[in-house]
Amino acid sequence: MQLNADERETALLKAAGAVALYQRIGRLPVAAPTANAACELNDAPVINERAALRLRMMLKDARYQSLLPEWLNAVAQRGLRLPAAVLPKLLQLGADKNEWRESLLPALGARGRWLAAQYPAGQWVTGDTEDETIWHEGTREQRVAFLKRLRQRDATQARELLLANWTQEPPQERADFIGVFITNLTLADEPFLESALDDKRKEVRTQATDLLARLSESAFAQRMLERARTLLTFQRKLVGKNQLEVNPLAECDKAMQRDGFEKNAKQITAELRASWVERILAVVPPRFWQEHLSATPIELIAVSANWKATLLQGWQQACLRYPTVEWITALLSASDTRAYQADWRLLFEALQPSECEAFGLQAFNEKKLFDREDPLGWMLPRIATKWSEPFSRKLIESLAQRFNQKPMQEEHWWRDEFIELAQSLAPTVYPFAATALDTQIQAGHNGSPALQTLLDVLQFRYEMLKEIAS
Amino acid sequence: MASKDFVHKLRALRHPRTIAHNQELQLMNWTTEQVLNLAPDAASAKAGQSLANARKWQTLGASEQAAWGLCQGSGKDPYQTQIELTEPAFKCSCPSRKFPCKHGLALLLLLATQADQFKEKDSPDWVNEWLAHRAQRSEHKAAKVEAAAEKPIDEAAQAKRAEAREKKVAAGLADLQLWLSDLIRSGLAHAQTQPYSFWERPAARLVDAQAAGLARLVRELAVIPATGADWQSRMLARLGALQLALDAYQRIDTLPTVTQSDLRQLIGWTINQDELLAQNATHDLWLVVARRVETEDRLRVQRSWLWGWQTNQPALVLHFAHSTQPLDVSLVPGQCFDGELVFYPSGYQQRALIKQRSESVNAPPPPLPGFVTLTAATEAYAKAIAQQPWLERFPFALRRVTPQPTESGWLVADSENRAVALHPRFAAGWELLALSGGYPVSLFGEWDGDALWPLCIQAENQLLQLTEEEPG
Repeated sequence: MQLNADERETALLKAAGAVALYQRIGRLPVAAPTANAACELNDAPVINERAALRLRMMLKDARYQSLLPEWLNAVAQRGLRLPAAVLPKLLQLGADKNEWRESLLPALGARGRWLAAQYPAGQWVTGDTEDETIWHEGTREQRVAFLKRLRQRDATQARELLLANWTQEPPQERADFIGVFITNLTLADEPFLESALDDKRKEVRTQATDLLARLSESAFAQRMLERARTLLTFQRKLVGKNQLEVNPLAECDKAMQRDGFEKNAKQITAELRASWVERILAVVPPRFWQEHLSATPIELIAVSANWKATLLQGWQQACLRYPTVEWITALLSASDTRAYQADWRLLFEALQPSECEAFGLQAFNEKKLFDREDPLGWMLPRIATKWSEPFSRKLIESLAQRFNQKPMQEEHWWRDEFIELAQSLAPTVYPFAATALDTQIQAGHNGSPALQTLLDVLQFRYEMLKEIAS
Repeated sequence: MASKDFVHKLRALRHPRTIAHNQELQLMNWTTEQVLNLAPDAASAKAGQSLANARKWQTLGASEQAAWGLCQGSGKDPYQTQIELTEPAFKCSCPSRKFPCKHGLALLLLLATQADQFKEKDSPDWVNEWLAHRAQRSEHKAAKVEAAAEKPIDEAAQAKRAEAREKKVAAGLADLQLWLSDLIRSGLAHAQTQPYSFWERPAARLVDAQAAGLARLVRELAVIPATGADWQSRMLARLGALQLALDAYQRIDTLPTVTQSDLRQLIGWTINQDELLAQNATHDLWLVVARRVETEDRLRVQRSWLWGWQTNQPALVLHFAHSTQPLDVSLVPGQCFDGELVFYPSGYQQRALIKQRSESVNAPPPPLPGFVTLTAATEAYAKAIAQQPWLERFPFALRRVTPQPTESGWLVADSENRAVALHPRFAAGWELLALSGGYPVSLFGEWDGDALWPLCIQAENQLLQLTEEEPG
């Protein structure tokens, strides 16, 4: 019997419906694949609930996310670990942000490391125990990262691995790899670096000279010292300023070029000579001048000299390479630092926090805080460091007084500065700051919102660290 | 069987009253997790957390019944925020249309974490007024329920209305049958190229025919052609299911009463809630296990799963909200209450209404009695389908399963080494794995016949919700 058109369709649908129903009910559990090993149960204690809530806040709010490394360090210091549910998100964060990995690792706990072994975004955790195939077959970035890690663990092995194939490496790779040597630099690296001075690629040569300069016993450093001996003469005067005579080098021979002195122009101009002087000053440790010229840093910086700007520039670079407290403070206190491009911030940050504070307390003029005219007052709040509590107090007091005297211009610009400052202050100073700045905030002037932001960030840090400790 | 300790604790709860405010009650211990789960979206949760700072509130007070505070906003006067603690119910004078607003969330968060900051003990006028208003409203509600039960039924008018509706539905279904046959005749491939209106038009016609339930099923077909490989089988299965429903309706009078009810509910008949509440209720100690919100079009559906400790059965409470309307927040996962539920008539009872309930308590629940093997779970599902063929979701309480990542997606495996797949759109697989640590855990989720959607995990004496943030 022929089914008419309609019945054919409905028959199909009925059959389909019935089959589908049976399929739904009949879906049996499949055989499970063999599972990976479970994680170790013996693990560090988890952070408490309030700290967990704080973590969620930090992850969701961009304002506070930059505080995460500090928080993670505090967690690790207390021997605590992160709660399980938040691990995937933090592993992803570590994959994205290289600079946070060091802080994240200790807080992962056994559970975190176990998860990282299976989670694709967690590869960076177990990346340490990798084999050399990455070195032989990876991309340039992977190879550089691998070499960096290897150099951290075993400097000698890293050097040998690099040397094995050094001459066959393309120029850009050579430039990247030699930069790795800054970690765990020792005199054993000297032969290699000395040979790198003959490299075809300028970037390689520049980095080689920079690294050799840091090894005071290297042949390079000795050569530089020789050149330095004849460079300056100090004349002490009874009246008026002391004099410093500069004997610039007349020529630039092949040896000098090899050591990194420029000789581009056909003509030897004054600027070129100045750059040679600067270079010598930059690679010689500042202490040398004290002994060689029998003068204190302050005396040397206060001299009158022909190429004063060049001298200061060179000494500044030397200070960054060989941080020496007396020299840096002398440079900072100098009255004519405006004569050259003073990079105050770098100089400050080259100091230890305690040295910075000592200098700050000495030279601090509260009236000049945030004053564009005063380099110290201008720079001090901007430095990324961790101030001690007494010094933080002083800063807060000055801040409160400063607002009393003069309204702040461009308050929105200050908000970012204040956020940075809030991260440098000691968190324990928060209760004091809350009362000290209260009047200024209530006053409702231009700077009040920025001050409020400062207080908010400081409060956040204060509470988050308290929660971990409780 | 629930531990004696736990039952004893719940027994100490007051006798259930109608859902209204309670005169004497204990302040329930809220966890911050639970408070944040009340947030309507991620932005509110974040805003609530940043406001949960005692410095930002001018006054904070709490009594046994309510909590209140004044929060300085962008306006001249501070906002008055208050919470009645039984349900909880929120009220705030801020202009936000979200519910609960960020001030309400912040206030409850503060209460949960820094209760000592709530210095005031006597509630001010604006709080008392609101509480009195609420008491009045719930009395009205209770009266209405009673009135509905006692109302004399106008038999004739009712019969007439019922007949008219049957006619309309029958016509609508006949229409649908023609559309279905046409669809098959032109072929599934043809259906793939159709615009949304191809599905929307028959759905709209069904809505006009008072068959809104079927309309939803038809609308759901629209997305299937875009779901990737093998969509044709899925489409055919759904169309077949529709056909079976149509066939069943043709001979509805021959079906058992409960199945008739199921079929009618599927098609779109609604049960009158007041009448239902007048029926016999099941009294038990109920634990709110988990909650899931899904968005269909502009309607949000919230499924709250409850577990009755003595009757040893699950119950499903549904709440609905249109677009920006607030959803009911009175059922918070992890809370227990003593209450009476009325189940909707069905071949397999699942959906229920809360008739009466006491205040909630946060007691750490003992392990949920659940299926020990996946085979047992799927067998139970088969039995349920036999009783109610249109059951969409079945609660799986699994005792000891281990999550496993595979190339093709996530699985959970039981002690017999059998596994079922997790739903492909479930995005918290790694969190699940991290929480389990590779060890078996107690998992609760929804089973739809193909895959499991995990909702919560029971570990360390807590119910950890695996909620994701729903968009918008």
